[in-house]
Amino acid sequence: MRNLILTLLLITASANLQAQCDLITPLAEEGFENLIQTNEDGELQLHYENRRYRFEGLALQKVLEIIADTPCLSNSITLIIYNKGIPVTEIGTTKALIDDLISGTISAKEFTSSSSFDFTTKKKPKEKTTQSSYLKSDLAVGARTDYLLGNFDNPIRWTPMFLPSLQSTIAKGTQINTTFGVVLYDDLYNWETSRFRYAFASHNGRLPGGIFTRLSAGYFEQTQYGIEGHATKFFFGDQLRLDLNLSLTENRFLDTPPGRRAIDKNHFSYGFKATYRYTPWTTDLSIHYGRYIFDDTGYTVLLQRQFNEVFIGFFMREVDQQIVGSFGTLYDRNYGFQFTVPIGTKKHLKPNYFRPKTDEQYTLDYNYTGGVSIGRRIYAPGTVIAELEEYYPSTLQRALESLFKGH
Amino acid sequence: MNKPLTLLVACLLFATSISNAQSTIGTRGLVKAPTARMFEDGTLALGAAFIPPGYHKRTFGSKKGDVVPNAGLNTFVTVNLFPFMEIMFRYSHEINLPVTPITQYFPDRMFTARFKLLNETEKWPAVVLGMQDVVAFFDTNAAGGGSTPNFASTYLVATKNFNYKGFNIDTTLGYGSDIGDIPAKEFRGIFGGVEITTPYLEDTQLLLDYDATYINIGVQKQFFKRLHTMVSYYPNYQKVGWVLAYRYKMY
Repeated sequence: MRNLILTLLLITASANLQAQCDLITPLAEEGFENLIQTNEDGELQLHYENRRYRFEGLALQKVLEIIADTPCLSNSITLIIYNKGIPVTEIGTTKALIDDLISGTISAKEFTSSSSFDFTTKKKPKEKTTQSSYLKSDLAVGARTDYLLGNFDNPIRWTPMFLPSLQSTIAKGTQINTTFGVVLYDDLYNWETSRFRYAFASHNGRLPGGIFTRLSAGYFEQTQYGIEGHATKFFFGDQLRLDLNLSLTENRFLDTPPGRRAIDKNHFSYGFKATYRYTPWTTDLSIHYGRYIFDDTGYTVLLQRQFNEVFIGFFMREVDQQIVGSFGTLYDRNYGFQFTVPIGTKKHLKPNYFRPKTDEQYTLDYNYTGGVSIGRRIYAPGTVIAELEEYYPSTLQRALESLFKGH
Repeated sequence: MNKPLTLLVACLLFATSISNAQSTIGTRGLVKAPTARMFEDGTLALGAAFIPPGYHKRTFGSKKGDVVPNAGLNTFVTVNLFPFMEIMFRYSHEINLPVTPITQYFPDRMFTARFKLLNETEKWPAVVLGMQDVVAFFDTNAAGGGSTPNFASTYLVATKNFNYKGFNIDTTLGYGSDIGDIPAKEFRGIFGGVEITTPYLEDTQLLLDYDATYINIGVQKQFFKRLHTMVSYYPNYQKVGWVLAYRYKMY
């Protein structure tokens, strides 16, 4: 009899603890979206999307802290991280490891080597999503500087501008993005005015076999109007990445500056890119070959290191056109470096139907040997493929190792 | 042995934390001479160095390479891109000289890459291969500077740390020379020096170096582990310069 009572008590306690393992409530309160929690065969699956933290590594750190604070019996835990409603990355770990990481019993390196990090092949479960990210809009303000070394009468030619933008995810993988450029000063182009820079709609997807896809239509940067498509496939985790991009556009202004006539000419551009990532140093070596949007054909080699949110890269471009640089110098190749740094706040306001925020990154290309109008591709900011580096398994591993460095 | 070399050898003989110096040329170094020290992987330094009149060399035109009465200002960004590699991008400005079609002046741009060949061990020093004004190796026509780099130098430098009665002495010895068609515009021959940290002043170091041309003296101090300041003194012309740099760890 006593054994029966003890067994009943244990079952009740276990059920109670299981009931307490509610990760949805604290994560929703924190501002995470597209939340789903499932418990099957002792494995807890947690699906989440982050738009609260500027960096996915920081978001993952917060999620792990919340899991450590929550009593859960399921030892096996799988985290599936989403972007625009698309499952991207998967982390397999245990509750014990998370507890040890947060308490400082083990180092982040021990945690990452004992857990699995990879792109996910899982689909979104049928369970109801808590706190959907759809039909919510962000009004973000970013900045951009177009820059070219000048000559003796004007050493630096530049066009700095603020970029207020409106971005919204309408449904799973479908988003719209509109950006206005407030030109502060222009002695690079000498015709640029404040105007709409781009307005496009994109559909992001993930095909069977883990191929990320994007199809966009609308007005893009460089006064390009038309459609573009992009496909990305990874091999060996994130060590090898292959990209294919296609676009059919024509020069057309969304908001034509006075006195500026759009050139009526279609561009078909394409490109293939292969990227090798040396994961211990989160360093990419890539080569892109293709026909670019201003009808130049050639290749771009880029060596780039990612330090969490900071990217520093060196590039070399060669196209079938001579490159005009400062002092009118003609170059066969375009050398330069580029960097991307985080801007704004690390943590945004909670996502809502309308949320003001700062943009997340500032990027500058420095062309050492001229050439701002060669090797240009259609860029669709804010899309899943454009943001993939933050979701790389090696990026998240390295982020945890640096964020938990003091442990 | 000439006077500067005698002084350098004397310092080495008396010579002993790892050095912190951000030199006037923008890379890790003493006052001017580079060392075999590197910051941690992922460290970024953004700074400026004032070069007093008498030390700054013109970087353009018919007087290219000559010492001019104007002072100079080196503005630089230095990154430890990999654990074994430091890169630096620098603009060298001549103060009080506007960029106009009349002056034909344009600030000099340069890249430097430094590679760690050996880490310091108990017995052996750290060794670095430096390639200053590396554009020379690619034969790229740098705007305004012509095709001949102004600060090209290829050198090997070794640094070893010693402790003596609580004093930390970081000693450096290097050698720079022409490589092929690329002439060494700086650090041609033997250079070196010491960085001394006393147990009495935290985050403060005394620097003494011989840059293969002049002897230079400096005192540096770090604030909040991020802000680096140095005041340099050039005995030959009794001039004073300075370095101000902000350090940021990207990881």
